[in-house]
Amino acid sequence: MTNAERHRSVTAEDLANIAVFAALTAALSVLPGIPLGAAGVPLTLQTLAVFLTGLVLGGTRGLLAVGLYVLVGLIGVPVFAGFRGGLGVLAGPSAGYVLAFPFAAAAAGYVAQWLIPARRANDGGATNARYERTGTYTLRLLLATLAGFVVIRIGGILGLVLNARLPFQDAFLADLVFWPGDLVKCVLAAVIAVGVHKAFPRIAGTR
Amino acid sequence: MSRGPDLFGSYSPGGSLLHRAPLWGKGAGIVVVTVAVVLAPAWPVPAVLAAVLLAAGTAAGVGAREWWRGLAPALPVLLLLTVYHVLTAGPGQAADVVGTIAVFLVLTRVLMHTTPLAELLDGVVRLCAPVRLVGADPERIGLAISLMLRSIPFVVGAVGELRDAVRARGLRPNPVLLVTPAVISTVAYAQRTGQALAARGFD
Repeated sequence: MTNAERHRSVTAEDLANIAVFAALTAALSVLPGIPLGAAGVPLTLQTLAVFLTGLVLGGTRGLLAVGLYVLVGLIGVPVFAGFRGGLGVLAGPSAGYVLAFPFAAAAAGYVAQWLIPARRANDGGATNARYERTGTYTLRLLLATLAGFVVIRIGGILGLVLNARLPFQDAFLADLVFWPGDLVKCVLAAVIAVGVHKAFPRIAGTR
Repeated sequence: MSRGPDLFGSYSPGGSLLHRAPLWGKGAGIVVVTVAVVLAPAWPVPAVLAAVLLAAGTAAGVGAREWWRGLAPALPVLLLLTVYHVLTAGPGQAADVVGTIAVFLVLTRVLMHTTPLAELLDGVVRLCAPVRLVGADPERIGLAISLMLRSIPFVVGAVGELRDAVRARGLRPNPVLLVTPAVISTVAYAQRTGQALAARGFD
């Protein structure tokens, strides 16, 4: 790291990445879902974007990017799923999910950095190549998204308990409905992140 | 292709008392409503607040169509919660839970109708002033917000273009095929934006 880089904790490139990934999260949240599987159940890509932001930007920048997305949504820009936005979301039953998103991105990002260390080490990508050859690269990223998945479950259930005043057990059952879709998105995020890391080896794990 | 509802809020100019109220006054109002609802012992408090806010919003020019657009997406969940709480704890608790959520939905509508989004964003940047204490710069938060809003059309366009391309080739919309190139072009766009910022003397 050069002196110029150390001067600011968030460089111009970081700021641009944070802002653009917040925009990506917004775009994937409001776009109509992609019909998936034989049943063709449309799947919104909101949580996919959250996991992906963590995997691509890493923990700290992922936290800031999704945090920016949530902040802008709470101010009132309709960037949440279904073109929702505004302070009212905080009182709604989905508040826990929305507030958990930045921490889910952070969890996925930090675990990914921990499981795939030193991706920009001076071995010319040999570490990555070894992980990719053995096929564990995708698996490691998948494990990282599962950390984010757990964070979303915790936040979402807490929100249901507090705002919808469901007892814990019922909140858990209500949350269970989202498990299959979110698990599919964990896998998708990991597979997509592998492609992005290959296209931009430098961005992966610069933090 | 359709971008859906406008990203720039549902502000409509007017001369009502709420339109002319300063932002800090509205912020104080939101705090008062929040405290009242949180401390409320039972359902009449959120019910009365929701009614008062509905009346105030209507007086400030929120029409039936706009109320509907703001409240309709929440109706299925509210209905589900009503049924659940009536069955498990009685109508009193159902009214309390649903009323509390409704108060904030109405409040959001009123705020968005009477305040330009740009003013709200400026207000938030001012609210962020305490981040100076940890060495961050609130102006950067403002810059990040406007960069993000500026980037949304690009990203929506990137995903939309790929979706059209996939459809034109008669392929099934495969999320991996669809999102990977979109994310890659998004990252490239972010790098260009970062370079543009650096070129303008932003460190």
